[in-house]
Amino acid sequence: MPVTLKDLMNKPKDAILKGHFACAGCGSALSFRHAIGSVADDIILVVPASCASVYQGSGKGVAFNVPTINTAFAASDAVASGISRAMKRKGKADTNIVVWGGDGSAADIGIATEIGACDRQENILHVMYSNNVYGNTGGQRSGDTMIGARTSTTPKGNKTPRKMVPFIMMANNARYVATASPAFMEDLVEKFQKALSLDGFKFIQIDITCPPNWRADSAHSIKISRLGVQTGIWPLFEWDRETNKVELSRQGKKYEVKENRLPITEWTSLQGRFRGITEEELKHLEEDTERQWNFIRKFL
Amino acid sequence: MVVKQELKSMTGNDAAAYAALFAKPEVIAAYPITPQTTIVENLSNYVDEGLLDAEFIIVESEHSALAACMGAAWAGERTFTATSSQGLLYMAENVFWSGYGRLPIIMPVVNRCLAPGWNIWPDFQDSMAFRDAGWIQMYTKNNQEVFDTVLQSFKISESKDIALPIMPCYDGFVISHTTGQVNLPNAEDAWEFVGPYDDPVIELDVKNPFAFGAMTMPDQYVNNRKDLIAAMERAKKKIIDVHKEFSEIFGRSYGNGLVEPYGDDDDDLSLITIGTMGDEAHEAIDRLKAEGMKVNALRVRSFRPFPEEDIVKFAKNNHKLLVLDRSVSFGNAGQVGIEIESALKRNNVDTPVKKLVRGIGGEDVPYSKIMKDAKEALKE
Amino acid sequence: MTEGPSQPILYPVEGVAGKTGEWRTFYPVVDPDLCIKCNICWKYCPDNAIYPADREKDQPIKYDYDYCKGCGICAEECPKGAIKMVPQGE
Repeated sequence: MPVTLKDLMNKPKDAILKGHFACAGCGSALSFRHAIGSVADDIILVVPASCASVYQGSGKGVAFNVPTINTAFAASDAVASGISRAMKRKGKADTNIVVWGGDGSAADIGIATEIGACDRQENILHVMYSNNVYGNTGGQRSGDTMIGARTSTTPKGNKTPRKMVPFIMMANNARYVATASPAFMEDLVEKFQKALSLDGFKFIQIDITCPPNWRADSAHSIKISRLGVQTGIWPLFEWDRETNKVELSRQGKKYEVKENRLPITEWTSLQGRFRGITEEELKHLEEDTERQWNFIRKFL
Repeated sequence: MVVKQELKSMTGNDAAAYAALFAKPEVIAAYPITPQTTIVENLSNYVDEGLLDAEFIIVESEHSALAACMGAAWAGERTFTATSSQGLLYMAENVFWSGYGRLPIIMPVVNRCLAPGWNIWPDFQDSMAFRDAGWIQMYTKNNQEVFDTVLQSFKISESKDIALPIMPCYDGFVISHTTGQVNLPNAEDAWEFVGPYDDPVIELDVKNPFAFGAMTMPDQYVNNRKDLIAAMERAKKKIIDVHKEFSEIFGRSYGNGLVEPYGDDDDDLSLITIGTMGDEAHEAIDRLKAEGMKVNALRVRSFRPFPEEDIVKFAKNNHKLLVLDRSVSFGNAGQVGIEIESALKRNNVDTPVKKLVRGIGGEDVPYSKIMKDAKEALKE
Repeated sequence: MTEGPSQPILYPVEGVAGKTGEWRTFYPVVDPDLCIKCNICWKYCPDNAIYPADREKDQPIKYDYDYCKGCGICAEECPKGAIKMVPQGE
């Protein structure tokens, strides 16, 4: 069902209340607002250690207006599996069970758990919002950090390409895999709802801007997310196990063609984490971007 | 009126699996590790044969096994898993998470040595390493007691005024894989005793959202822990009460449920034991008495909560204690010995305590060895 | 019914981080004449600090300055340049 801006205004209730702890310009909090908001009346959230654990709140209450279980870093998908099965026992299999965590858990420490739940075809949706670092602890390199990115543990630039978790989930028999960007919010919510309408293990990667760790102007949060798609760095697509085909998303389709992409420097120049990036690193980054697209092309 | 039961031959793991079968958990997480594996294998057979209607989640690690059980507990459903040794260590953060989180989870720990080197035989180093995690720990001496204790565990853990996860512990191989006689009640009587988990400690509800385990200030954190301490204290009476109810229905008892004495008070030496060494100690006691020595024994059944009052009372009525631990806190001594000594000191009881560590690495502890230790202690 | 255990549970509450408007160093100001009531700014506000415009009532957007963190996304994304970021105190 195509989602319009008007649809975004029709939430059952606010999923995240005002006055939360997210940094100014946080792409994750924005995505939470609309995605979780769209199903806020029938959802159980499982949150591993992540930025969401913190922006949720503390002390006197929480900003999340939906049932939320906070878990240890690597545990979220297993906890979600237990909740999902228990809800099934209660005759409430329709309740949406969503893991909402960062790339630290989904790409690194929690990946075995995630793949395990995927392999068992648990009826849960795992949303990985990626800022390409361990954001909660101050921006250390994660498996999802790309070449050339300066992080607090790769001050001279990360040497390895991204892990590409969506491809890992495709290979492990997920039911549905998609990437999304908050710059294309209607598309993001549409994918989110589509995923929830399917049975089995669904995975969505949202590429979010992280102003503090990327040393970017918070005002550019959406602009950077948009440029990520327009430079080809963030392929926007959906993959369905039934067809085993990738469908490129409307707003990102044209960037499959290398010539249509904006220069990567338009994206890197807005982020302090790429200050000092060398020509060679940029070249590697471009090659790695093409590597991602080559993988995707196999499924077109 | 004790219910009808049938004497059957089965291993300790079979007994644990039967207790789980009769208690009808809704969600079971399964991961293999020697010597616990046959528990989950039995349960998978029961599920496949239609004897047990449960969600059986074959997880990819022990960390996930306990996480899945926690998920089920948060949703308000009865849940069960089992582990040993490295598996228990691998799920460590979740062990603390569920203890501190006050989630009723029943998880037998089939005790096995910790690596390196690889060693599948029993000692209690694994479960002892988690005595600080807020779990109830009970140590059993034979296959019959495994069945009885696992069944009782559901009632203890899920009780709203307790709400603590529980690990019934028993020696790997000596109990888990050794065939013994178990008086097995029928499924209906066992279910009648346990009952459904219909007043859950916690239950996720989309209509009434709450966040569990979000960032917490010291004052709330401290309140949570204080309540945990109080619950552990209440657990002593709960264990005794459940044990009493059990013994009236099924005709078996183990002391008062917290500790099991053997012999009379006021002897020259008392052996304090835990696990199967407790059973061997009875044999040793009988033989030592036949040789004219005045000896008795006390088996610690509940280690968490620590049965301080019972231990102190016992020590007051006896002259010398010899504690045999099957684990050791490196840098100090065997954990049961340390805690008994400090309890006596705290209560101004000056009965001398000798602490020994036996059976580490699965080393055999037959009655002959126990007798030797006892004789030496008597001489000192 | 027996009272349950004391668990680490918190309930939803507005303003859990206080009045996050206090975080700002810049605040957004909308020119109501330029606002075309497209609500793109409303869409992109991570803090839900914008009351949406109403085309039918010809009402432009309004700010909830209690919770606006001054991130500047709205000003950046407004297709008509109707929003300016003004330094706090001016």
